[in-house]
Amino acid sequence: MNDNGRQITLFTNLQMWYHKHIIHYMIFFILTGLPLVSPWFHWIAYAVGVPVAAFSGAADITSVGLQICRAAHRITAVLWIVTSIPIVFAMLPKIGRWDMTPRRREGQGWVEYIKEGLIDTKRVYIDWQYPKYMGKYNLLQIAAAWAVIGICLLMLASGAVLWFRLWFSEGLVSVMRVAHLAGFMAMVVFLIFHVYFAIHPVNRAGYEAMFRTGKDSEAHARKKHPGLFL
Amino acid sequence: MKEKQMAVCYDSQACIKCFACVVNCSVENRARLQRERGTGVEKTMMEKLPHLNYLTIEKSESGVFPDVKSVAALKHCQHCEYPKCMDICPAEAISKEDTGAVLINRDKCVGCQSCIDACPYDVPVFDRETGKTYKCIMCNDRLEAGLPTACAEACPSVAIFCGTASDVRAEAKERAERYEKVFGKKFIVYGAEPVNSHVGSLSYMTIAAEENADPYMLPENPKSGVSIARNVIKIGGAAAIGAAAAGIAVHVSHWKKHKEDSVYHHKDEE
Ligand code: SF4
Ligand code: SF4
Repeated sequence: MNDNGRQITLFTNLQMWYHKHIIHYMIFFILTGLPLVSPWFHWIAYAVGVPVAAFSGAADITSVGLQICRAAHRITAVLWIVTSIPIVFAMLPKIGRWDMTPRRREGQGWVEYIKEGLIDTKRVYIDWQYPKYMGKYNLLQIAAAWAVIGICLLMLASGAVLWFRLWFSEGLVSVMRVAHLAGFMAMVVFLIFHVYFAIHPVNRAGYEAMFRTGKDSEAHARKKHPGLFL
Repeated sequence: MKEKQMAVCYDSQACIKCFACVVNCSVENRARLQRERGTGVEKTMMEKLPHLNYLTIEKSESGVFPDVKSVAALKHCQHCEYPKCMDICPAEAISKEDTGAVLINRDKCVGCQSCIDACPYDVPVFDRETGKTYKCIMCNDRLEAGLPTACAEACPSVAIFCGTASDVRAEAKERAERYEKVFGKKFIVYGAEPVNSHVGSLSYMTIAAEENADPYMLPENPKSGVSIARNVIKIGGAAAIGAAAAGIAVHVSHWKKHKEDSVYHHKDEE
């Protein structure tokens, strides 16, 4: 490996800490939300309800499990919001320098930027070669990141309306219920791709950076993320 | 074999608007508290909880003076053949009984109010005190015991009648035909035949002049946008998840085929 020994920081300690928490929250959100999406997942509510019903003598185990899932879902949401406070404060002032901001070269039009981004992404994930222009993230990752921020905000807003539904009109609650389900489905599809590409050998360095040191060798970064050095 | 499928019919033409049905519904629900929950007689009479009233009145006025029409319509669960409330309930708390009655099991209900969203007739009501949702149960307990529903029992003009579904349907159609001859206008038996493919036919039918269908809350094509949207999202979501899994499988096989030529294959290269 042609390594000059220098390391660059891909993820800060705060970003790594937040990402680990997000993983736990997502697992909790999914496990506690699924029984409400479909009776296929009532076994989760049942498993949760058994010990509680044993002590409380509740008449219906699944029903008591569903209530616990609903409460746990909300507690997870509150923890998520609390955990997000430091990252929001740390990242918002740097919004102009976010790596997921689409950055065109001088004089480059949007069409050319998108075409170039797609070709670069293909070079990595179809041709298995190093990209020519890609920065920290490729075009699809940038698009997905913004989509996920949008979905998260939608889930928070719709979840809040559903939680405090008695304060809102029935019409708004209905719309939010549908939006929450749509957001959940979109999130699951995103997570499937996200997890797959995160553990793919192509992204080994990024994976190790996120879960270990936060760093990558500059030599590797120059090949895999040339855009960072343009 | 005795027909199990029962039905109730409200004849708006024969109704004298005394609302004895509404009162008796509440009385019966208080008696249910005594029978099923062991609540004392005085306490059941003192209960002011809204869930003791399954029948409510919705009054509407239309027209311009002096041609004003005022209609007091009876609001209750229609006991749909395909209950959308049941399909959406995440707790499986709602069931369609052999009698045709659609019931909410209070012990199972988690109060999520999805059924309120899904009902095209806007029937279920959430009770803040109990944290549960309630609605008319078509006196399923009474029907199973061979008794008429509380509303039918109270009605002094037999404007609400019940029995086996085929008897009620036949009687309702006969009445509608008679009204058409007497009044010279079209009458419908709403729910005797499938209203649409969304809700099917109804176990609680209504006889009304066709011109009064709106004030009597008898929509021609009842639909629940929420219920349809949720189904579309669920099916679309499942398809998207399947497509994502298939896409990944193809990508994995592509990787396996080409990984030897890939610059990412050897850890050293990384
Ligand atoms: S009228 Fe509404 S509450 Fe009654 S069975 Fe039909 S969908 Fe359910
Ligand atoms: S409020 Fe109760 S009956 Fe209605 S959908 Fe939710 S759990 Fe089912």
